Amino acid sequence: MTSLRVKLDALGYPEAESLHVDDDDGVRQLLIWLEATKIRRYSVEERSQLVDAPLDEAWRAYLAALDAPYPPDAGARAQALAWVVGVAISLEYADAVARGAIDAEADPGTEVVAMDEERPGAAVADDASLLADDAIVGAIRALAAALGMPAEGEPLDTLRAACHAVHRRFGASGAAASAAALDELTEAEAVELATNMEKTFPLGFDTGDPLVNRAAAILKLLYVHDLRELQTQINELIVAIQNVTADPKTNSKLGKVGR
Amino acid sequence: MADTRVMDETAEYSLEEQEGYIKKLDANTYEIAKGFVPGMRVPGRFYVNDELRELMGDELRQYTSAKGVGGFVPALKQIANVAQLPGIVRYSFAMPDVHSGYGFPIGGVAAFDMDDPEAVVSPGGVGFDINCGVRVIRTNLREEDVRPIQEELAQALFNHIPVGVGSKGVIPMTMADLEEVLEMGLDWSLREGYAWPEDKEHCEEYGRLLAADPSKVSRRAKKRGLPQLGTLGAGNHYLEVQKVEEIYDVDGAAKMGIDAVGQIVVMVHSGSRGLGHQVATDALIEMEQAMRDDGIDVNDKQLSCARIGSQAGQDYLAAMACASNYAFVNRQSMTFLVRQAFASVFGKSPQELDMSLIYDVSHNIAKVEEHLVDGTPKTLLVHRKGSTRAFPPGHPMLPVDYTYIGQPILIGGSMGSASYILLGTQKGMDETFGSTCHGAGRRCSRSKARREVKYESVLDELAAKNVSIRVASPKLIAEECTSSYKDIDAVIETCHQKGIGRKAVKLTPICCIKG
Repeated sequence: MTSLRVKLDALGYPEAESLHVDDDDGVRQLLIWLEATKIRRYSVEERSQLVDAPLDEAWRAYLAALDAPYPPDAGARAQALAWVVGVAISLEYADAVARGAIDAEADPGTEVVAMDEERPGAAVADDASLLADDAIVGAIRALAAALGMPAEGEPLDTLRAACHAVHRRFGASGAAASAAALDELTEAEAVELATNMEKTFPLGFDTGDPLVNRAAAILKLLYVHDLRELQTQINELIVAIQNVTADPKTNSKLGKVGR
Repeated sequence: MADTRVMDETAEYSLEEQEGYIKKLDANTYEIAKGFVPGMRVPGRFYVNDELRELMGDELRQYTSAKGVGGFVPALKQIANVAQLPGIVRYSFAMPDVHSGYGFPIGGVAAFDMDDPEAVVSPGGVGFDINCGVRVIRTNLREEDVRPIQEELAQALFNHIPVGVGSKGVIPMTMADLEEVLEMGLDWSLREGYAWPEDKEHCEEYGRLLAADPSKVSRRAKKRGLPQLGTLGAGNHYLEVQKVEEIYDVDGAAKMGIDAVGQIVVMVHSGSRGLGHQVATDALIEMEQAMRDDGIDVNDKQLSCARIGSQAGQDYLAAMACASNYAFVNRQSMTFLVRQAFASVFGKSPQELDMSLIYDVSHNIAKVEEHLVDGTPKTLLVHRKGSTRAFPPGHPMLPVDYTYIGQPILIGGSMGSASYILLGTQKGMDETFGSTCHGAGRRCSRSKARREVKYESVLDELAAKNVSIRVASPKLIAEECTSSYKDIDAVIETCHQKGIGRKAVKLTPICCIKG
């Protein structure tokens, strides 16, 4: 429930703190507020059904109007509600980008949203009933354990983290592919590759043993790679802070060309 | 500053006797033995080609025949005088572009042992334009993109960036902002959005000296600096649009984002303006008293100095760090304006034009560094005046992108001549505390150049080279003509041969903006 409250709080919903999913009146008030201030799927006349109709009926109709992937039965209400709030947040975000309040290209947040869609975990997230299946939850925990990650906690969160880890280790960098390619090298080719690497990425000192030198050169390369990654993360963080602090100005009236 | 030199005893010696102290070690290395001037603690060492060696000999001859009366102290004497300062380690060095300066020679490098309580810091070893330096911004444009509109581009840059004596900047600043600039350096530019994070990454000292204490900068210095932030200034400062003329080190150039002959880059050469000058002037006055108090005696009054640990020494280092931070922000502010000018001329964002900073070097500064002295690690205060830091591959102070190639050393030529990017070497680290030359170096004084060169002919010469030029005061450019500087190609060749920097890229100007 906490993450739902945080999201509602971010949207500016005044009753975020007191909301409870089993409280019919509270849920109805939330739907009315979301539709009136954020989502605006209904015409103004249609909105009255959220107020007048029995909650189950109104709820069913509203989810259908939004093309929600959830059956609106009581058991999945929390997930469905989270999904509706998600819709409201993405609309709010799109508005902010359109207003120019957020630079979508510079905002790392957009990347995360986009990646969610591509990830295998996204399909599971859309079908909440899958997470009720003990066999699937067990498989997620086993996957996490194999990746050396904590396996406790929400299965969906664990699955997301596992997807991320797999992507990082075996994804775009093609580490697995290059490892396979290395296996196929003849010994002569491997030595040539290593010699070239030592030329392009010299160690800078001599240990007196060519094999140790080679190992040290590889360690140094890995270290430099990590350092670059760290620096990139630092730069991304600075950009995120700049979104808050930066406001560069010039005033050509102040300028004066000297003699 | 009036030229107030002190007569020294060796002026009585004959020229031959003096030259006897200077030994040629190899094709371009010379050593000045102790005794050339009184009180030398270490020998002097300088790296010059034959032509420059002759020029230095001429200076000494004139000085000796005039018995030291009038004129300036020759560079040879200045190298030796620096060797007399307390706490100096190994040698008093001079780089291949050496010429006579205030106290220290320009092109001078001297390191002082921080663990020696007698060791000194000297404002003359930094110079009046504290953290004067050079930065190069690359682009993905080619010569053929720029040639058809080079006049328009020169005008756009001239319109965007205030130049000249008495120029004022376009970035709104209050005194409170300035205090933050002095303390934070490039971090201020980042916070306010005038810099990209990569700019900080590719800046010597990451654009901020942490020793800065704005309370040690006089009110007068701050008042001079406030309106001048983001201005180029006058003198030898300039902003040039340059093209890559030649690539000597393909791998090294590629790491800097330079991949083809004809690629366009922008070079900015500027410093700390009036603020730095005032900080140096204030310190010289302070130190005269400190020298009397501590009983420090020097050959030349211009070598004012104070013990590093003394109040005057610490105050100067804190103020010098402020002026350095100001200079980093000054060059960064102009980078911001250059990016705006290019964006408006080419109708693309600076990011699309790949206008990343290759590097930013300082060539007038004193810094605390770790060096091996005779196999022992020592903490030294390295003064570089008209000399560029040149750290080798693998040095921990380098940005990660340059770990394998060494520090880019940006060498600005004189107006109309070539400029160079060199890379730092281990030999330079071992021999000259990781230092190399900073430019062509003057061969004749400003006043002599003004007397002998007509500014119209300088402009014609630049036009003949197809360089678009914009100057705030054309009459002053006679001082900066190529003929009043040494041959930059020869200076670079000496560095390269000596191994205190290796050639990576040669650049030639297309547009030149000057004060």
